[in-house]
Amino acid sequence: MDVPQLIRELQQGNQAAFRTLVETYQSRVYNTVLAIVQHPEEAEDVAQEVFVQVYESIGRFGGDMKLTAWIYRIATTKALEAYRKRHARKRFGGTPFSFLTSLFGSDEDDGPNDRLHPADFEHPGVKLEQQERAKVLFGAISQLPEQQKVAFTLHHLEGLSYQEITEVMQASLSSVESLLHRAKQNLRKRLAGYYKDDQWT
Amino acid sequence: MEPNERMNNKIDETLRSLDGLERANPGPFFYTRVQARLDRHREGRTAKSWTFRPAWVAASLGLVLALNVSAVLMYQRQLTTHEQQQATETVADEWGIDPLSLDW
Repeated sequence: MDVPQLIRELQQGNQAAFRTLVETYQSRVYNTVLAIVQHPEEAEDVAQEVFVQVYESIGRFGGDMKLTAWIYRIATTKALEAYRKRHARKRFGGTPFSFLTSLFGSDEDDGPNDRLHPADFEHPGVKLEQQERAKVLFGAISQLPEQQKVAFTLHHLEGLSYQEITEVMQASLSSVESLLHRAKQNLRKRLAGYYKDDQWT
Repeated sequence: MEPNERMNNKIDETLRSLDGLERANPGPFFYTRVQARLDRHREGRTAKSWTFRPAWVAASLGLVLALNVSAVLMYQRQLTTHEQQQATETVADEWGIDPLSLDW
């Protein structure tokens, strides 16, 4: 089934077409979401939500955007929302006074100059011998600004070209190049800080 | 090897750790779970739309209006009875009659 026909059938509410769409895109959506939220159960939940939104808003899909870019856009938006929500819960949850402590900047984990504390996230697709390094890298990725995180994930984890990323992020080629350049610079800076601290521990 | 060079090598190796990464996949029967979630969404929407159907909204508003009108009418009736009682008592006082006999 070609893409225009798939879209037409989805717009008519065809369940078989929806199944084809889910089975075609599920690993792309899950992998993208997982790299951003860095939590397998949450990634599964968000990935399901992505397809529910695709099903419900396919009627409005049209224009020049490609179906793949549109789905990636929904996936990255939902993943960032989920990450933000969890981060806010961490920041304001816990003790009744944690809101105050975070306001006054005494929350050791979440300050603006926080050192890299790699999360215990292990991506199942990373080669075994690279797992430890990848864990450190994912910790650094999680601290990137949102747009840089999205551009880096789409390029390095999903293998999208710069041109394809422009379609997903609805940005110019030069902006995407700049985002990826800054993402790499930021990662180098954070990793340098991490390994420097690591030498002393 | 210089410490700086060693550090740069370490960083480069870390940045390359995602090379050759394979896509992660969701658990088996992912479509079935998406379908179940979609059904829950639809049910939620149907329940909501059922509550807010114009017929139900109109009926609820009508009921509230009817209760208000009946409350006002009952209050007015009470007032009228009270006024009549007062008038009887005044007449009875003026004529020096037992108000109960006037009621007859």
